[in-house]
Amino acid sequence: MTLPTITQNAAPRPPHDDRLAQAGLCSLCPKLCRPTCPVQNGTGRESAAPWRISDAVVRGVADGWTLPLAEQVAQCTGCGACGEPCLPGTNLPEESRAARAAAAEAGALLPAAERLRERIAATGSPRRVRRPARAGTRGGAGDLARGSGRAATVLLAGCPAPDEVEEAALALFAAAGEEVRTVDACCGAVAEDLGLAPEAAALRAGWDEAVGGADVVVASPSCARRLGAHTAVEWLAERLDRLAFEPVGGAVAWHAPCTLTRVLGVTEAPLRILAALGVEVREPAATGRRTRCSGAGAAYPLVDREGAEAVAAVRRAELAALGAPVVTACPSAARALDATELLVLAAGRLAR
Amino acid sequence: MSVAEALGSLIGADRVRADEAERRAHARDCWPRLALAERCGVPAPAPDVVVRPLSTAEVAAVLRWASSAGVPVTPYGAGSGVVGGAVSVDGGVSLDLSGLTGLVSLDEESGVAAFLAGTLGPDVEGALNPLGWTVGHFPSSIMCSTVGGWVSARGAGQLSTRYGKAEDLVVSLEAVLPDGTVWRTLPAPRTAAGPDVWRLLAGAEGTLGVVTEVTLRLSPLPVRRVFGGWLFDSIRDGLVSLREVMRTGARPAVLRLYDELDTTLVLGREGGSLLVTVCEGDPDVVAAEEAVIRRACAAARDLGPEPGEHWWAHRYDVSFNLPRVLSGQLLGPNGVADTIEVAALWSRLPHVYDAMKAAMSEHATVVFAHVSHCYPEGASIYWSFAFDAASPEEALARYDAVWAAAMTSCRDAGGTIGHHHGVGQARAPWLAEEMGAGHAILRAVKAAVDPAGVLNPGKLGL
Repeated sequence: MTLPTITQNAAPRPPHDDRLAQAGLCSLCPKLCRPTCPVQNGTGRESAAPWRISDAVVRGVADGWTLPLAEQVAQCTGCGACGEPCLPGTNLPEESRAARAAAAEAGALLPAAERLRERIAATGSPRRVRRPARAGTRGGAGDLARGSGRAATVLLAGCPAPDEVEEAALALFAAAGEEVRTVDACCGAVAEDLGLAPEAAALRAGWDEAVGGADVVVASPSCARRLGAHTAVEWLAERLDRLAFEPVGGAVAWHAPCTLTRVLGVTEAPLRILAALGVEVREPAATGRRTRCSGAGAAYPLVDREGAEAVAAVRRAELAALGAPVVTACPSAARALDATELLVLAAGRLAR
Repeated sequence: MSVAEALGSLIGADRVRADEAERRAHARDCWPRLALAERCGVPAPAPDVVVRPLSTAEVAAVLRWASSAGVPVTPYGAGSGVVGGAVSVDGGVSLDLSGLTGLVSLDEESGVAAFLAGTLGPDVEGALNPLGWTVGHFPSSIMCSTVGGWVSARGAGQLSTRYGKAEDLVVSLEAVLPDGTVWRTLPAPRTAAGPDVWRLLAGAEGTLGVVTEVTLRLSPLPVRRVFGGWLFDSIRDGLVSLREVMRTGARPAVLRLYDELDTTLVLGREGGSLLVTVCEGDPDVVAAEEAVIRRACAAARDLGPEPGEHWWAHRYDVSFNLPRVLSGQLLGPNGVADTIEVAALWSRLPHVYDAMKAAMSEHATVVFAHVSHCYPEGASIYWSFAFDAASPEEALARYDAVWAAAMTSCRDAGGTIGHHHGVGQARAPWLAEEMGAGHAILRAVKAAVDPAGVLNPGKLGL
């Protein structure tokens, strides 16, 4: 194998407060990031290539933000794949988030951000329907009036997660014999991804107040990243010895979510859960820390539905070639890939 | 009907983009001058629309329409070029070939494989390596350059002394001419059935036709790879050894001889001229090449495998140091760096080296070179230069001065002004003089196949 090995000699990372200089590095670099980008690959748009997004950052900072520039920097799912070959060490997901915030502050607001801002103003939540606070006990899930409102652990399914993910997580907590509660609050990840820094900060403050000092377990990897919290799959993997599952049997195609595996580094926990469920795990070539994005990260589907679908189609095709139902551990990726969420799969196989 | 609407009706509106982001993204390749000009407030010219065909038939439809409408078309692979060859200088259509990607066919008995033109280097090797094959073409830009670009600009990989240059690897190709004619050449090891007219497309940089598919010669993956390092008293001593190695018929993958300043930068100590060697392939052939190198370098100090291993591990670093200079991280805010590759016969090479070094040093602060891409009759000199300037305008003026000094001194000393980066816009002012009557032939061919003059205007002095 004579492919280039280019990551072993990474240059010292430049000072991060000089974003302009950092982004400027990309304007002339040899673009090793380009083939790694799921958005560029999936949509064929050169403007979505990471170095071009950096170029847009430079233009935005230097010349002022416009809506086209804001839309360009939003063509990033935050998967982090471009970071691997990048010797200067540009963290494009971070640069992109900062650029979206700068653009929004300058008035170049993404249409999706405008809609979200209106919804938050109207309901106080990014969700169309607010999810009530609940408690999970040994007896199962219920509202706070029936359960304990003071459980030491707080579960966050995440705004993108359907209710079944929260139900599944609560069921798993109950089966593990641990008290848990949910709160009617949001970490602000989606608002942050869309550049709504004030809203994101306010939501985060509300979250912190609602949670207090409790431990937090998060089903959505994006929310876990935002909060720096334990993921639900890590929590579950640590409790497999006290849970009994009815074997699923057969095989599943495992999609490693980018934020969970590449960004948070959680690669083994979901595989241990799948092993406990008694399934044969089939993985595509791009998996683990080198996984390929589903197109669902960083609120990209809200910004560019067509592009997100193109990215997802590439990944769906890779997974379909494995000839087994797709399982993943990210609510957003599960939706994009028509996959089963791992928590839902596990909860459904709890031994009665 | 607008250009975008017309093209959309041909290949689908979803593959025609006219938004600012996509047009700007195709406005620039990696030619440093474009970035320097932007610092001076002169943005790179952007195409009016970007078109992304997914088949040869769609390329043909676009070109046929463009020729009839008189709309310029600039082929765009992955934008890795460093001489401005993919820039839409007259606006019009940027023909993004990234949708033409993948392995088309593999003939393992003959050791050839056909790839679509937009296939990136890693995908080429990724398709072949599991089957025990390699193309052996590893330019610094491999991660972001395409098969079509390799051939169209006559690129060279870092291991080209063994595997050959881009055009050496071509067994056959498919191209679309400006009138929409699809031209497929016969795959054969060689033909004497007339002149190799297809070679006009190799190095034409998309001015005569758009390469859409290339059948490439393959080599078995190397079974053995050995590294070496030799220290000569001077670059001239090293050149003698390079010549001796090449005359034996040995074809080491890498023979890379650094001049004294480059040696200091590589080894971190002054004195001498470092030769890095890499031999790879069949173990018996590698052993023979090792023996040849050892004999030819008997007068040099054997540094063991470490210099070669170090080069191998860091062989793409230069691609990152260039943008670091240009972004002001290694020099000042108006720092400039670029590379220029030329070639010359062994008999002229020392003179070309001396003349270019002197001429470039009048405008650049740091000028150094290595000799690589060796042939029995000569080799390439690969220059790097850098300087800091007081203002963006001074940076651009001095950049142009270095290039002019390099081109003219090389020409006057008997070298060719380009070895493997192409001509594009950077070398265009000097091309006609070097080609002589050949450039008149090129212009005549251009007029014959592209009478409307729509294909990649402003390149090659056409």
